[in-house]
Amino acid sequence: MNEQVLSRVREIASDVLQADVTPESSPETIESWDSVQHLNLVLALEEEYGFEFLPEEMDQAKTVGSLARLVSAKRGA
Amino acid sequence: MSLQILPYAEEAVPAVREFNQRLLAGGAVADLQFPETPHPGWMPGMELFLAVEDSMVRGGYILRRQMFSVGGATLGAAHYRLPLSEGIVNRSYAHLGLRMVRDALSREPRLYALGMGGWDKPLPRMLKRLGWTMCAVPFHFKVVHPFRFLRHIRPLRTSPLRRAALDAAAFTGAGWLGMKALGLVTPCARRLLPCPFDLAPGFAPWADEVWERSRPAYALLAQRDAAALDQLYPPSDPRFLRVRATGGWAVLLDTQMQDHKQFGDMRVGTIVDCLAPPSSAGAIVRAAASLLEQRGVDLIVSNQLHTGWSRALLESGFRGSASNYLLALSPAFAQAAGGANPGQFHINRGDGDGPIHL
Repeated sequence: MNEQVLSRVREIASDVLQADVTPESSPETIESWDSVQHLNLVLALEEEYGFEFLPEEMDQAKTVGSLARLVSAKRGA
Repeated sequence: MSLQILPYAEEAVPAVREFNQRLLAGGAVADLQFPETPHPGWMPGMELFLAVEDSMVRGGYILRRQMFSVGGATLGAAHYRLPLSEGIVNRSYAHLGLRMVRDALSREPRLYALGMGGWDKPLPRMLKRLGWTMCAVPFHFKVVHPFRFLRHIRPLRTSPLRRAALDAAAFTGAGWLGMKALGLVTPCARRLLPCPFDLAPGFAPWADEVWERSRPAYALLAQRDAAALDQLYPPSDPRFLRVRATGGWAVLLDTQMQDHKQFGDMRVGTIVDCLAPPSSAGAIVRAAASLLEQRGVDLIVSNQLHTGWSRALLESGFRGSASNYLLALSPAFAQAAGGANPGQFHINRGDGDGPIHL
């Protein structure tokens, strides 16, 4: 995975969720990560990178790390 | 296996039951339950969808397809209703709310949501963030029997001191003065001009003429021709009172509440739905309020978005209050409405779920 992407995704997630995050952070580990904040995070990433996640991609992205991997893959596609 | 959103089929009923049980066990409020039948039959045009993962149901939503008159043109749209996600009780499914909204938009770009319980709830927050056009549908009320209102109105009876003050106002016979002191009645509340009306057993066919004459006056309204109205308010259902007055009609409910979370044991009259050109709104409101007062209700309530109907209510002695009955239009639906001011939309309790909570 592109380390620059991971770093930027962590920054965005930290900003949206108002919490310190690691690649393993998920809705189960971050108190503020509810459905509305998940939406805010997805939209912030889509705005940052200029694409929209496909429905099946959204199901896979359940941690900050998996979101970063997804972003990397979509940017490389 | 990844999660899929599929039409609700009969064989999924046991999995829906399990989903509902998980929501309850996880602490969700009791009315957050998905229908345990793919054919709930409340209203025409409903399509039910389930979010399914490895044969487990993780969420669901309903689309109710309807025809609308938008700027005088007829087009299809759908009510996005009862979106329920396991994310309510299990954060592993926090992503599902967004997934379901986007799935619904892919099936019908012109969507609306209505009600939603208030601005602080997840759905309106989500829709607002997604760029939907949002507004509150104003709530209006008129107190008919101050004594019973003061004794039963729960949102005002929130502390021992307030309860004592309200009871004193009620029992001293100064109820009406107390209401005025609290600003809950307007000076014209007792001076309604009489307005002739009759009660109709059904809508067909006279309501078609009202529909055709009224629709150009509204920037957006759901189809309210006779056929649509007789489906919404079936002639076989004795609860619905169909008032016909100069220029239009109103549908009323007269409900004896029992231990209601807001109305206690009051008898509540509701102006559920109505239609007329805005210039006739005053006559319809007066006729509706007169009938409900004659029947002996304690309080009359109505949610109306259009400024003409809102004004008619205020001029007939109703008072406005904060509303948690929200309207949200998807970007495509708002665009179809040409960016019109929501105050020109005709939306009330007859829209969305219909009068199921009244």
